Amino acid sequence: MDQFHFKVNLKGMIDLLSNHLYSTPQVFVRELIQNAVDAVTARQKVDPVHMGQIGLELFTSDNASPTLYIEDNGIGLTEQEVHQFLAQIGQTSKNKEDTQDFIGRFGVGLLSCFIVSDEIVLLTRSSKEPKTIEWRGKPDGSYTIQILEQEMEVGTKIYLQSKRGFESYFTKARIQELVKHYGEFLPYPIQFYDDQPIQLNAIRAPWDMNLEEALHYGNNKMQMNYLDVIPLYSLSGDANGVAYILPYSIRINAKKQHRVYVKQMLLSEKVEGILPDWAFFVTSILNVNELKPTASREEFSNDKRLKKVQKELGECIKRYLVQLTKTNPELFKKIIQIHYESLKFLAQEDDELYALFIDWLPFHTSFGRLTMKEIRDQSKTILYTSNMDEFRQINQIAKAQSICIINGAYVHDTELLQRLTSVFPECQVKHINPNSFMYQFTDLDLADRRKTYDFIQIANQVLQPYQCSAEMRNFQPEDLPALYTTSEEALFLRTTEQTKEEANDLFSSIISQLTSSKVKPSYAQLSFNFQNPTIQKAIQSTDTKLIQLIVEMLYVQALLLGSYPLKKQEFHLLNKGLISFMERGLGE
Amino acid sequence: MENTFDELMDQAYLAPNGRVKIGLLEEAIRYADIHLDVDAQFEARMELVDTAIFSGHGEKAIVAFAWCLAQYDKDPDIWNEHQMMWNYKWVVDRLLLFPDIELAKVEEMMEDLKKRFMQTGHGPHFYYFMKQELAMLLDKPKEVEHYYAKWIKEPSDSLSDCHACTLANQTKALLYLGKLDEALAVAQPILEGRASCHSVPHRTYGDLLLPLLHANHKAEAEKYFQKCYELVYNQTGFLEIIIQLFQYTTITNTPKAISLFENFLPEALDSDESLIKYNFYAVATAFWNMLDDQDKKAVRQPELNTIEDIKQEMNRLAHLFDQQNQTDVYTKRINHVQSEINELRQTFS
Repeated sequence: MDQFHFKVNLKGMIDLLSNHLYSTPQVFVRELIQNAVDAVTARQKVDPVHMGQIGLELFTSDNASPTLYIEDNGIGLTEQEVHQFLAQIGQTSKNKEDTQDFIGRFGVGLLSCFIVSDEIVLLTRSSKEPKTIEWRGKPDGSYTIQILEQEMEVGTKIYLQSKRGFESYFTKARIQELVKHYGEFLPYPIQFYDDQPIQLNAIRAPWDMNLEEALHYGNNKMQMNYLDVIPLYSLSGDANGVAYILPYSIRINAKKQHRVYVKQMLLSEKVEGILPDWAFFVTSILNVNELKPTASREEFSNDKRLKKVQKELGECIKRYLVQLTKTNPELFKKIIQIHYESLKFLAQEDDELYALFIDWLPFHTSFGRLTMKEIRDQSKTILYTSNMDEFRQINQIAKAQSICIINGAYVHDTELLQRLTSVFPECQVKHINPNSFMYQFTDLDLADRRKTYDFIQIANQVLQPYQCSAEMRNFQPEDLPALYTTSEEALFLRTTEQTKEEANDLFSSIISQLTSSKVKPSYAQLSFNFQNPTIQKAIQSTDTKLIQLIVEMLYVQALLLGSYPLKKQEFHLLNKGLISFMERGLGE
Repeated sequence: MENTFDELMDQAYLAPNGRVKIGLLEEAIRYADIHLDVDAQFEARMELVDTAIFSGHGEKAIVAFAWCLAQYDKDPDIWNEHQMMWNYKWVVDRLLLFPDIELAKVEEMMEDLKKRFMQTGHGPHFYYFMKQELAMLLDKPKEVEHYYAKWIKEPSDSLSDCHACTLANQTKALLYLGKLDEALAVAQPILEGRASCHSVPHRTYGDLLLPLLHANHKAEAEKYFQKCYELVYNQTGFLEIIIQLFQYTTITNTPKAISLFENFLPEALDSDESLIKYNFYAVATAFWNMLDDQDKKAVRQPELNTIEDIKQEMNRLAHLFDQQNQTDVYTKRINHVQSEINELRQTFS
């Protein structure tokens, strides 16, 4: 069988790299430093006392594009290695057995230089043979190799002249900034040769600092005022770092991005998925030695080990929070106030943390935002509604009657409440809806009932077209004349009516049939308040027309108070009612 | 915790399909309705269409979509045409779960769907599939065969179901037509795990259970039952498949049937999708008849609904469906489910 090879169009490949694989052209600086670091590491393997050194310089002149120069005293390349590695895309000089000692995994690294330059010139001398080799590569894939006469120290030197349009990456300030950005925590000295050599390494990396220093570092670096800092460690990823607690709340579905270094070289500032999903209240700086970056080297391959690292780092945050409840409850309280959504997510997933956190977690109640502890202190019977609409209906009166009701319509809330008795067996958790709640209101006695009979009779007639029935009860607050309550089914019915006003004929008739076949269409209810002075006067009236008008207006008012969008009919009712009252007023 | 529209939508996007998410979206819709913000009204309703369909609340999807379609017809720039048609397709598909809607109306809607698909440059691939589904529901094998042939012949397009769903749908039709071997051949990629999606292989496993028992392939049926149960366990929106598992266990494994009954009766009672309710009740009735008095006492039932209520509601629905569709299949099906279970139990219980 004959064997053939694909012809790879290198120019197209570079276009692909620059436009799709790397998020920004500036990564060529990272790739250059990375190759230098790996070369030094390789040399130290054979010569442990060798002192690695990396240097950069920028050459500028008025009539030529600027050129970047980078040198290292690493292991260098032999002539054969040059052919082998620089000539073939995807080939890496790093020995397969000990890849974990090197940062790079892909020989594509140097290719990223073609994004900003039309020629790479590389001089190298290997520690294994006394030859100085010059390699010149072009983006079309052609290259030349020459053995030079001149002597050179063991190591590699690269010259890179800026392509037109990329000069902005070739200034002294930019190069220094980029080297620091990617490599300030690298273990070998990196110098920029200006009039004086400038050391670009930082004195210490955040993962080597004590917590106080690390907090200070983070605040300065990010111009933030983080609440606290958490040490992070993962055995399976050989990862070390710190997580900063954000001083503001963050959207649950916002991207959680972390600053991650691999073997002390910056991988990306925007790595996702290295911490568990619930940990969206922290941002972290991490150095990882044992995770595989993807080809773009801007995130990690999503494999089993990543999951394990994620879990271990999550454990660090959990441990910290558990400790904090004992050592610094004030700070814990502050964290909860800002990040309760994240912590609810966490409590929902973990029994131990549930027991620890639940009392501190805030819920939306008829008294505003209260913690579970505050809610439990009010009553051993915990009442909650499971949706927003039920809560809104009940809220008005619950407040007036000093009854605490939790709005359990938010994500996790109902589940968290239902588990409450596992920690506090003395508590009773009860789901209520508007009907069961109204049921508690006292009925009228017989004498009062007789007084309201006619009024309710008329009200029922008036409200019938609106799928609503009337009743009279005693409730607080006194100044609330009527309350509109509805069940989920009745509310759905209301929605269908509202939709029929808009929908086309076909859908309208289908919706009608959809609802008409239900066993008993449940009605909404308008509860008039016998305690209310206006109602007291209204029931004494003998003017049927006036009572009708009053019922209509109270109905619309109750809808508005309950924040229900009005149907067309009801808008009409409101207009008609207002005009009638005006005319009545003017007529007298 | 302010109830602003964006906040509610954010919370909704985060929530898994089901009641919480529906509740949040409905509140967002009310909020948008009060403020008469058409874009917001539209966005929240479209999200509700999607959520309701995957949470087993087709009726809410139909109503929300009706509003959106009316707005879309007034101002087609408000939303992406393809998404609009894609959702219409789901809505018509769900419509089949409501035999209480007059057949003529359902057919009229299918024609409207077809017309709109044509107008937007799509073929009748999905339309023929729907016609075939409807024929299956009305138990008209000739018509099923007719539309099945048309559907398979028609090229698929961007409004057709995904590859896995198409295979699953074909399998289902072939099983209905009694062609088990052919069905198994079509289902091959599904059963080998090469084609899958949100509801596949789950529903294919479910569809195969009884036909396999009829063909005396108990071991195979049992294998698919286990796999299927694992996939739908603790999930919402798969009641149709649960009913198939319930029916299968009523034949083969009484204790499992009891636990399925206990766990899913509340969801069936709560469901507004009439056909699903009816199908669950039909199996539940047969299941109940099969239990002896001792077993009956051991079954946990909801307080408010007795088996008698369930039977009554089932019969009411059957009559209603038959009346709306000018047929007798729904009344007959109750007995058919019962006798099929009895027959298979003689071999497999």
